[in-house]
Amino acid sequence: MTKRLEITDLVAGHKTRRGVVQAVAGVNLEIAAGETLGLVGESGCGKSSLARAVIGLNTPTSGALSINGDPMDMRRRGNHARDIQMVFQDPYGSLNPRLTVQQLVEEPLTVHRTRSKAERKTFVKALLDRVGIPEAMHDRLPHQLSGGQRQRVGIARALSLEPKILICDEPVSALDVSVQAQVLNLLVELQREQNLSYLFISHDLEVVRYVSHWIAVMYLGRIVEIGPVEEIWSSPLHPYTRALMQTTGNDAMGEGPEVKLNSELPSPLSPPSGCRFRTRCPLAIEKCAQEVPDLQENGKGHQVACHRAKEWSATVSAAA
Amino acid sequence: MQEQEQGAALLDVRKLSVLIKQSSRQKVRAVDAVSFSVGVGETLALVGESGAGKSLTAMAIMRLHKAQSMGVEADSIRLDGQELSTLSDREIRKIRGSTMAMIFQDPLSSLNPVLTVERQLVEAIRLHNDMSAAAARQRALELLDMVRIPAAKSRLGEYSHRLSGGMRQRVMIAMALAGNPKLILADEPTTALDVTISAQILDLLRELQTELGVGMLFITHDLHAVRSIAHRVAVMYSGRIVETGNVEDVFSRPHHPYTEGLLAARPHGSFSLDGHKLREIPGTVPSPADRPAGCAFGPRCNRSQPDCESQPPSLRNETGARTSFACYHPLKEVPA
Repeated sequence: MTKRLEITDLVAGHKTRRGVVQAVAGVNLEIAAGETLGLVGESGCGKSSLARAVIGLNTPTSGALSINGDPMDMRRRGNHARDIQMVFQDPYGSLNPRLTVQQLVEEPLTVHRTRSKAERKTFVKALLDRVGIPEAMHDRLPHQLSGGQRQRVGIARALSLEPKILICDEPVSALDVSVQAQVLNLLVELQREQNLSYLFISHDLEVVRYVSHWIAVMYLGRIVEIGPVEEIWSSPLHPYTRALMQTTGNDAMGEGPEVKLNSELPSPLSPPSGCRFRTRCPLAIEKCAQEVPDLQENGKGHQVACHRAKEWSATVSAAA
Repeated sequence: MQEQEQGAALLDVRKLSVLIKQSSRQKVRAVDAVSFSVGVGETLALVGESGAGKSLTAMAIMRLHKAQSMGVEADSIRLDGQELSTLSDREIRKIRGSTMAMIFQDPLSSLNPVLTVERQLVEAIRLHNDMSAAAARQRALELLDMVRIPAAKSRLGEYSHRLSGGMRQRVMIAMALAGNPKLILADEPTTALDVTISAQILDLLRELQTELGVGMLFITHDLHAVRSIAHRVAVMYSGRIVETGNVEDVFSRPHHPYTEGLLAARPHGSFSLDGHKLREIPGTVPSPADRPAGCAFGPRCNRSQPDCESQPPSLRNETGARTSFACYHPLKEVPA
């Protein structure tokens, strides 16, 4: 079955004064129709670079993307705007402060010349209504809205071209807890109604667990573990994933090595040899410095890139 | 609860209000008569959403609020037996940084970018202790070791922009400890950090507290952090404390509908597996200027009755309840 979105061997970097940072170092991911892939990792691990490369805001160094099996030309992002759109973290910084709510949501339709003028107006009204912006607010400017309302407008704008894939980069991180729940509920409802696929980026593991069907864990530009949501939640195998899970107080986690991280993310300018996590890994052995671990299947689509994961995979899965 | 503890309390705040001047006539009560206490070696978490008045409360205690645009009223603010509210600015400067110290959310903007870590630490140490420069340098090194900065010696010459977020926050904590404080006010110290680093900082604060026996007022919106570091918690909503008690009690048996809603709004479980919706709290936090006359949470509350609109409820203890709450129609028993 062809997947809605397929990312193959994607490499993306940016130049800095001290050299090229390979923010995304060979990533393979796929998302099925109507499903959410949650992407977690620390800041600087390349989550946002990956998102920006997929949407076409940065040109990837190499790799391929395809939507419903059709390869995407990554230098012409306009061609894909109707298939794939993005919801940004900071709804204030990503909305033009001088356009009204109505204009903001209508703009993509005008740019892409879809529908007649009258149709556009009714469509925008219906869309804003759907995301929970009452009609009295359609003529307001972004600064007259609360954070949650702004994020609703951001979502409406992303949905105005009726894309099939939404990239959500930390869409609720800037919001208060009570408003987060409103926006998360809206996102999952919209997914069901329109059979949308989400690439959902967040550092908040519980948020990711709630919205995702699959979870991928990223560390310094590489995917270190990926699998179905409950599989990752109940039996995380990679030491890094286990360390992340411990910070949430996840007690459903199967028995296995306890990992506490003492240091910080190494510079992405000169990533460690072999396994990139080895410098922070309390379980690292000599092999980890020499060989790059590949993602290995561990049943049920659960893949992990760790030389030692086999040693505890049986006990972790059994306890879960 | 407050009555027995008052004798032992390190910090005891009674009816503290912060008023923000909107114009020459109008003042807005951003913090409205909050009372709480922090014991020796105890951590009290002030938790709430943005605009609840958490940071203003801490700023008012430290007297770091903007004096031109804000006024502070309090029946009393007692720290270690001393009344702070009547002290002059000059006198409070002696206490600030020595008896009480603050850790800020954003260490990059709170550290001086043109001074080395050593210079800043030595400055703070010598300000509050009678020490020679050499002894202060030695103490600076000790402080960096104390906050578990690896290779502390080589870090002394660094500037703050060369440090990572976690390291900066450790330096901030070291500076706060420079005057041997009895009370630490930590304003969202882990909010700007990654989850893994934030866990490290919380561990550090907890260990330091046990080692040094300091009291801590920990301000956060992160319920996880509260659970992992605090002994007691006070939930703030629109400038008022709506519920307070031991962390276990408040989290497992909240009586105030806001506390309960906040806890339920956090994602738990997986939508893709069972399709459950998250509990929402409709609407948003009112700004202090248009806070309703009665209970501030009333308009968003699913238990509100006509009597909620008349007068704001005050914190009270009900028999059988383990927390104090400000609600006319509290939740009686919530399944855990």
